[in-house]
Amino acid sequence: MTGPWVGRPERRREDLRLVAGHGAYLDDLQFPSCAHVAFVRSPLPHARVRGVDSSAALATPGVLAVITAGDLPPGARMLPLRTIPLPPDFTVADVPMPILADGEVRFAGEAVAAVLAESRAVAEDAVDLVQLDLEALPSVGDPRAALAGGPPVHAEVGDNVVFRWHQVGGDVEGAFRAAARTIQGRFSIPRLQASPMEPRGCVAAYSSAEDLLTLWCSSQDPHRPRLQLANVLGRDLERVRVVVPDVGGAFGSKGGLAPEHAVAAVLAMRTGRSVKWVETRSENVLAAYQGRGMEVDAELGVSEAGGLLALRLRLVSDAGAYLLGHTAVVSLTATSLATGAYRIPAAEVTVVGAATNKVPTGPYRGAGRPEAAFVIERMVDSAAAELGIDPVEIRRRNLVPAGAFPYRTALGSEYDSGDYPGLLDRALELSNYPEERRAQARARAEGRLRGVGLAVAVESSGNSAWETAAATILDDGRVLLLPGSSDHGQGHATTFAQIAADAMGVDPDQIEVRSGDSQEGLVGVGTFASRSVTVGGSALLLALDELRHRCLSWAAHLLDVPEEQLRWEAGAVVPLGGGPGVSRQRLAQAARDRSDSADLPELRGEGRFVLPGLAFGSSACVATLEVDPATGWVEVERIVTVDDAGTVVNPLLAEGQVIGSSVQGLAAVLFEEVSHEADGQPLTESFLSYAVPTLPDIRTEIVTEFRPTPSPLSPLGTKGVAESGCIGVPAAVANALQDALAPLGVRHVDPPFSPEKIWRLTGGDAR
Amino acid sequence: MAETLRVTVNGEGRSDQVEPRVLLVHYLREVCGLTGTHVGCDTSQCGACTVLLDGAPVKSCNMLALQAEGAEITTIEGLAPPGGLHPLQTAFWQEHGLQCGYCTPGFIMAAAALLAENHDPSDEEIGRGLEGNLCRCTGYVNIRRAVKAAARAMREGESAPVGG
Repeated sequence: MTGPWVGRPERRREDLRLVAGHGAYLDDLQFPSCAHVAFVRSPLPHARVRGVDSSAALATPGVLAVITAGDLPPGARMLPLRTIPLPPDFTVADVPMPILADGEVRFAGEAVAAVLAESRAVAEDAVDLVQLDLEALPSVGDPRAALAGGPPVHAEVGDNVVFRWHQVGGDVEGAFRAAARTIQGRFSIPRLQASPMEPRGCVAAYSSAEDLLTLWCSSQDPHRPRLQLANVLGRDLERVRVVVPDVGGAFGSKGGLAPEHAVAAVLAMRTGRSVKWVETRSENVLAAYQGRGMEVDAELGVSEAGGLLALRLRLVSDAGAYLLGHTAVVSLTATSLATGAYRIPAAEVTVVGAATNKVPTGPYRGAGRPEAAFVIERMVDSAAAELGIDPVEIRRRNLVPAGAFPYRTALGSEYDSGDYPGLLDRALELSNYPEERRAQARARAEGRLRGVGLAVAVESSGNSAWETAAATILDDGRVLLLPGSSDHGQGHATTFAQIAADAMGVDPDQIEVRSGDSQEGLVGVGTFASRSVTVGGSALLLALDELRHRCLSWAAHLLDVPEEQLRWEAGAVVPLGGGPGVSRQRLAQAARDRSDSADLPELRGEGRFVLPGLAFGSSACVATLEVDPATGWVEVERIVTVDDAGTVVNPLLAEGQVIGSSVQGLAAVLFEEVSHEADGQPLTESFLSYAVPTLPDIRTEIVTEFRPTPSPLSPLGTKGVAESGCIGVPAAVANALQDALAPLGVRHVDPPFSPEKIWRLTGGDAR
Repeated sequence: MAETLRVTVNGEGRSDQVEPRVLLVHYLREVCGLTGTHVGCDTSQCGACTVLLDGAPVKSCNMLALQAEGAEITTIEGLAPPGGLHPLQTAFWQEHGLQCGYCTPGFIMAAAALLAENHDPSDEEIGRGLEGNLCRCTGYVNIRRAVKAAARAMREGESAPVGG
């Protein structure tokens, strides 16, 4: 579907407010008589809590309460262990996260007590006055060490295995026996911090008159935190309202309820005050769930001609101290995409979740897709190098061909559509690949370390396959959309208005979009897994279909003609045979007054769309870089990325997602790593020690293009794109680095490719 | 013990009683109600809190409110006349230089200070001028474009004939 508005690079309607400083983010919301909560966090990665002395804190003027696990209401439960379905044979240990540590702390930064005070300053001061009596216990930070007899993080899980899964498809043993060679690889993908510029936060307020608990929170959607808060506090869902204001970025890290949100809610109910929690950046780095953190052993069986015959992976996920509702899902995604964009007839993946004394992991932009792409793309390049085949040729030989869709992988994923060889060819063309290779040859002749790297990646989109939307007509005739998924920077209001403008035959300025309040619209799902346009946009079309039908019913009543003699045209109802029609204003007013029309339905459409599978976006990426051996600096000169996002609703915003995710992907391989001591003590504690890149760090020329094959799974034909660069770019840059370092005989480098690491590898400390 | 702070904020003279420990950013947000200036870190890395102090960009989380005594402060809300947009605000919108928008006020204020001194900055000069601000959404590409577009618009605005 494309119309006059879908496909146009509309400027964002969200922006005029935001550039003027009139955004309303969580901490901008003002509440009368608001109290503030701050958390006392464990300095040790593993300890028994022998006591908490809050007397000095409580004696401080302005302190209202100090609570620990023992003060939580009797019904208060831990955070839900499973919020997204896992396969039945995916075993998960019963280690949910408490909302305050109960008797034992299992990572440094875990909240042990909460201080409520009249001001944030007093609360933060009083945190320092709470004395924790902790008895240190043995602890472990490295996931491989945790599995190799490391001290148990949970006494009841002696082997530190908190989840496990084994998936096999095809004749793996036979294929490896038949393979001419088996390529081996071992990869360590570090933990990353999503680092949205706005840290987490919430305000909780309780109205005893209505018995209604309201949580305003900086979250990716209101629906998941609402369900989880009701679950944690044992409340009826109807007695919990969640409102999401403007959100300053999330990238997967604000999906669902944070334990701190639940504590704020408990304090609001207990004191009758509104309770605000706004975390510091240091708290975010210590206590917000982190992404990636995977150790992978890989084997790839290949024929002498470069055919990919079989893949075997053992994937160790650094789960952290507890399982959140989505911790294991990242490994599930990585597994299901392990064969990448290639036809590999046999594959086997073993997933082991390792408990460590570190903050739990969860989704960060890509969430399993980057890990899968990194491993398979590095393995394909290793195979090419070992067989003496060009990396382009080995890909062309093995990519799923354009005619093979829907394509079922050996591990059971069904790819709906795409043209991977076409993407690769176009990326090679755009990057002038032969010239890049000539430039590399010249550089090598001069002794410079220059590399070119490729990656072809898939982006499954649309997880948790349903979404809702409602639509109605306002008195002034504008169409009001209430999509189930809400925005945190993607530009939903703009793209949804474009989709609705085409569906209704009006200009986008006749469309109003509101989202984020669980009391408005329908119960929905939310924004994650690159799903909003595909699943949410389709739900919107269903809602608008129903709304138009109801408009016809109302117009038939007003004109006193059969409905069959009317149609919807250019935003109004018109008679088939000509003559005056009925405007949206008149319909809205008639429906509001409803004097003699009690049997007509409300002028409102509702849609619930179920995506029948996953829509697979894809991308091909060419990275060019040069290494400066004197400093170890890796200068990525150019990224060319060609994306298949299906139908593109707004190319300006889609390109913004590709560029933004590409730079996050670059940062992930070049700069970023959350590091810990062997015992789990964090070494990364703020932006001083976590290298989010700055503007002058990003000099890379980024060339983007879209090459759509529409998805057959949704009426719009769209697919996910918002995670694209995080998936393909790290793999392409890693392949380019390996290519650059090949003359030195360097066989493997794990990210991040920090200057010190590269300087040592290129012989810096020997010089 | 609160002390008197006299400052001009967005052209308006003010006199407020302020505790010595209050940071300038908290004074602007909580006392003046100007919540367009944001806080994104606690180590003065992110620059979301950048405002102009007597025309120079400062990270308002990195100084005490009382240190601004006598100064003229401009925040994002005061950069353009009411209802209008500064060329930088227009350019960030037109060039898709923002996504979540949280870092944007800080970037625009830092860029305003840069363009006041340099009417045609190169990529390198933009890099130096904005190295104290972090953005996680845009990858900076469109921010660089927006600053150049605003510089161009401001140059053209200056050379346009006055009146008529």
